[in-house]
Amino acid sequence: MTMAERLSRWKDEGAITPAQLEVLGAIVRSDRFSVSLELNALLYVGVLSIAAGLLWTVRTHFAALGDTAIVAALTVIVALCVGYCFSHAQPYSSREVESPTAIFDYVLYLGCLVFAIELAYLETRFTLLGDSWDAYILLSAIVFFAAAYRFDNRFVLSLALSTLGAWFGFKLTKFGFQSAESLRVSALIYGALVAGMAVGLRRLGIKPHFVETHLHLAATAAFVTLTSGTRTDLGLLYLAGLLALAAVSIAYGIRQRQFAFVAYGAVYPYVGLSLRLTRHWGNMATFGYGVVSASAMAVLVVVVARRFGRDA
Amino acid sequence: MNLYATADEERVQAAAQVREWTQSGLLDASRGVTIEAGLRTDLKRTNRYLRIALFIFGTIVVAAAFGFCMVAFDVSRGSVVGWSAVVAGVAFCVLAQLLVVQFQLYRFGVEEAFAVWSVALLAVGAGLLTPSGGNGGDLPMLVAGVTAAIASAFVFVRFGYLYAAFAAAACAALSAFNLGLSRDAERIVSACVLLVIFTVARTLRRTHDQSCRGDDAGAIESLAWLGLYAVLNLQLSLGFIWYSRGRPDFSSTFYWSTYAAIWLLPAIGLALAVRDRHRMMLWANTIMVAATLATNKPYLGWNRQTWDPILFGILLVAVATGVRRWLLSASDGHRGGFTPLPLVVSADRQALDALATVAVAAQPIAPRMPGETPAVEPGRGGRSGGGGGGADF
Repeated sequence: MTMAERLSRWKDEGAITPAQLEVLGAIVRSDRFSVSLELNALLYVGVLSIAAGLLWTVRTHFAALGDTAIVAALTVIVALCVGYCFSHAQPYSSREVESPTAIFDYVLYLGCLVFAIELAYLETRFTLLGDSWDAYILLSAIVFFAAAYRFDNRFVLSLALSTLGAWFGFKLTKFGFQSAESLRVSALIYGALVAGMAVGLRRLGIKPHFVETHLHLAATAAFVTLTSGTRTDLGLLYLAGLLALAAVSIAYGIRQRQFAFVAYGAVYPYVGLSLRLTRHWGNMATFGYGVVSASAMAVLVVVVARRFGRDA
Repeated sequence: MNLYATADEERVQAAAQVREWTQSGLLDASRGVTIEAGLRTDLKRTNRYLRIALFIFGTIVVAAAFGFCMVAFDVSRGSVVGWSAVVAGVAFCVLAQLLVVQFQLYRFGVEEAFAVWSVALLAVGAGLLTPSGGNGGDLPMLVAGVTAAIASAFVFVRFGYLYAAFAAAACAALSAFNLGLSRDAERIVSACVLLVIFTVARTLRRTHDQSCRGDDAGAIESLAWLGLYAVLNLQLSLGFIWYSRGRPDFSSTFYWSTYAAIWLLPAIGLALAVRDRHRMMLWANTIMVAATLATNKPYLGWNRQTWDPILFGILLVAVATGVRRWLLSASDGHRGGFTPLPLVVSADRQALDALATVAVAAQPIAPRMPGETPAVEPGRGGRSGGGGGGADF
């Protein structure tokens, strides 16, 4: 039975109204065909391509073009983007805000990318901040966060979160902490901060639709860090942290029906525990362990999936 | 042949559509729940994240079980490893089918892992059991590729995994490169294989219009078309497109024929996609247009300029805004049924959320490391003595 036939039957049974049949029937038969997603994808790739081209051009031709021309051109682009956004933006709201125009989100994203390029150029060419050069990364992150929250833009939010991550990494290495251990500590602090922001946002009711983005990034940073640490001298400490985080993640995932967190909580601790346990084992014992443990985990996840996560 | 009843799969697909419509406000929640309840099946399913987790654990089981047998029986000879892989492949394929038949698992991850890795084991086993040598071709690779294509097609027919069909098409097309033919001929054979797959899938799509089988056939059709383009675009095989240089070693006639093809294929494909309102073909041909624009200069032997991506980006933005305005300028906001406005909002939003997540990777900030001196003397144009030639930022 085709979907069009189903719709007719549901209408006959009174499950949908004639008006709904008309709208849904047009979608199913492709009488109405939306190219919204395709146009958004073109805009996104277009903006990324423009930013990549600008970066490439500036890197290659800055000597020929001269600082004044480059800084002026980049400033004009940023100013135009910012001007467009402020002139078209809807008033701030803590709730989700629809984009006022089709290109609004992409203009803002382009403005932020070009701003980052310009700031990086200024810092590298003129070293305005001296030894505090990493402050421009933090400044970029702050500007991106402000723009993401003011204009309700998830692209810029992702940019802000990754820029903040970059600042954490460089801040620690700047102070001479260049070992893998210090990078792990840095990543854990970053994860905690981003997760803390998510909790704060939820409590304050500010942009609640941003919370999941924060939590996914925080969870990924923390799980990867803790898992990679299980084979070090401090492995037991990392393992304990990993198991504790897994428990929290699974509980949160089941309660909020966000099953990505259940999956994180199942896979990462398994990998971490297995890396720790099989450190000194031979091939046969390791393979045998793999068969038994992965089968047990599969059964466990099936039970969880049947109990809580049936929705496809 | 399929392990699942067509009616069940249609119900699953219909339920997913009803959920999207409900989330998008096209159906009110109470009606949506009632309709979805009427579409229930006995199939056991889960959400995509637990499916991925189960696929990972299933993969570990397959790898560890095979490794355990190899170590336990001290298998090291190539032919024995090959036979073991074949036996393991068959065993895991049977196990996957048992899980489906016995427990009615549907896209549950674990049975998918067994089915997918059974293909890999069979292909590796067949390749290891084939003696090398012959007439210049790579016979073991050819046998492995053909085996993978047949086994993947079997998995698609039995389980309905679309990615298995994609793998079958890719393996069949790539097998042509192990026949020991000339560089021109191997691409022609590969393109012919993909053209046959495209034609068959297109026929099937039109036969099963508006059904899940038709959707699968449409996806295979689009991928085969995209593969056909990839095989014929000689510049794509030269590595990362923005950095490829020069003309590969092909005959002049073949080279310029492919140049014509990379312009013709997207044009024909876009016309077909618009006429048939075929979304997957629309995506495939949009990618092809972008690839043609990106590889045009190297095809002609021209140097790429640093501002090429800027022009390319401006073109994409102009096309997107132009098409949107043109469609909206019609009296009722659509032309021939095409509209730039989202119809099923939740589906578009999910895709854009995924795009926003990918945006984490687009990070233009690349500061120098601690202790690293600026590449250029502050305020000047390049390293001293280098005339600015080695300058970078």
